[in-house]
Amino acid sequence: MTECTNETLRELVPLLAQDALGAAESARVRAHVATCGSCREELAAIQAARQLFAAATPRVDEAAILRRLPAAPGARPQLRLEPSSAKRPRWRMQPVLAAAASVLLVAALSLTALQSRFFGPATAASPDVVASTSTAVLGGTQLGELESDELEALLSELNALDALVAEEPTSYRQPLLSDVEGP
Amino acid sequence: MSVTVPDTPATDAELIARWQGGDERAATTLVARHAAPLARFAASLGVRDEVDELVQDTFVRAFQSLDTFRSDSALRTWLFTILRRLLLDRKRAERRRRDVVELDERDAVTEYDALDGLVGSELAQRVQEAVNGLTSLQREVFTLRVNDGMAYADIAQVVGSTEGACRVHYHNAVRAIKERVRND
Repeated sequence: MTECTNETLRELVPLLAQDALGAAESARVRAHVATCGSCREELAAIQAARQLFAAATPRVDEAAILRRLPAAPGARPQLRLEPSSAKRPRWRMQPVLAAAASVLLVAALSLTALQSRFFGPATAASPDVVASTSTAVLGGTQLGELESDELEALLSELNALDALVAEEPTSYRQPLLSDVEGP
Repeated sequence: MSVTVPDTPATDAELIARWQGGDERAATTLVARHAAPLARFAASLGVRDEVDELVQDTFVRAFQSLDTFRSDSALRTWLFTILRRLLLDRKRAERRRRDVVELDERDAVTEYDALDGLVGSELAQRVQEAVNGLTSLQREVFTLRVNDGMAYADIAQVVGSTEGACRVHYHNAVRAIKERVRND
C-alpha cells in the first residue's frame, strides 16, 4: 500500500483518534481517512494501541499522591483533629475522675461535719457514715490508684450522700443559713 | 446589569502560583489533572506493578522543585520528563541488580511487559506484538503521540531529542505496526 502524501492531514490522524479536533477539522480528516487506505490503517492501529494502553493502566491513588506532597510554601500549619469516634484512653480519664471524686468527697465531708455540729447525729449523712462509705469504697487505697469503674462507684456513692442532704426538711437548714448570713 | 463570567478551569500556571501562595487545594486539582496521563504513559512503556509508586514519586519530585519549573513549557511535558528519568534510573538499578543475580544464579530473568496478556481482538494482539517490537525510543514517541496527542516539540523535550528526529521515530513506529498488522 502506498504511503499517504498529504502530510498535513496525516499528522492529524492521532488527534482524530483522541477526539481532540474541532468539528470542521474533524470532518475534513474523516473525509480524508475514508479515501486514504494508509491513514485508515494508521487510525485503526492507533485506536487499537490506545485501547491496549488504557487496559494496561491501573487506577491511580490520588489521595496517596497528595499525602506525600510537601506542604505548600505559604500554607499555615494544619491542625489535625482526632476522629470524633476515637475514645480517650483509659489512663487519661483516671486523673479527671480522681479529681472530681476528691472534690465531691471533701464537699460531702464538710457538709456532713457542719450538719452534725448543728443538728447532732440525727441525719443519715453523718461523718461516720461518710467515713465508713468512703472506706468501704476506697478500701485503704489512694484515689489516684483506683480504676475507672471504682472511681465511678465512689462518685455514685457520694452523689447518693448529696441526695440525702437535699432531701432534708428546709426547717433544719434554716438556722444554719441565718447563722452564716448574720444579723 | 449582571455580567456572567465564564467558568473556565484554572491553567496549570495559575494553579502552581496558588499552591506557591499557600493554597493546598491547587495541588489536588493538578494531581487530578495529570495523574492518569502519567500512569498511562508509564503503563504504555511496559511498567506493571510500580505504576502508582512511579506516579507518586514523579509528583513528589516535581512539587519539591516547582520553583525551578519554567512556565514557558507545559507542566505535563515537565512531569513526563521527570517520570521518564525516574523510570530510566529504576531500569538501570534493576539491570545492575539483575547482573549480579545472574552471575550468581546463571539464570536469565524474564522481563514482563504491562501489555502482555491484555489482548482482546486479533488486531489488538498484532498491535501489542508490534509495540513490543519497537525500539524504546520509538515506543516512547509513539506512546506520547497517540495517548496524549503531544506535539513533536514537546515529545522531543521529554525524550531528550530533536523535533525532526521524533517525527521520524513516530512514522517509523507507525510503519512497523502497520506492517506487522498487515503481514500476520
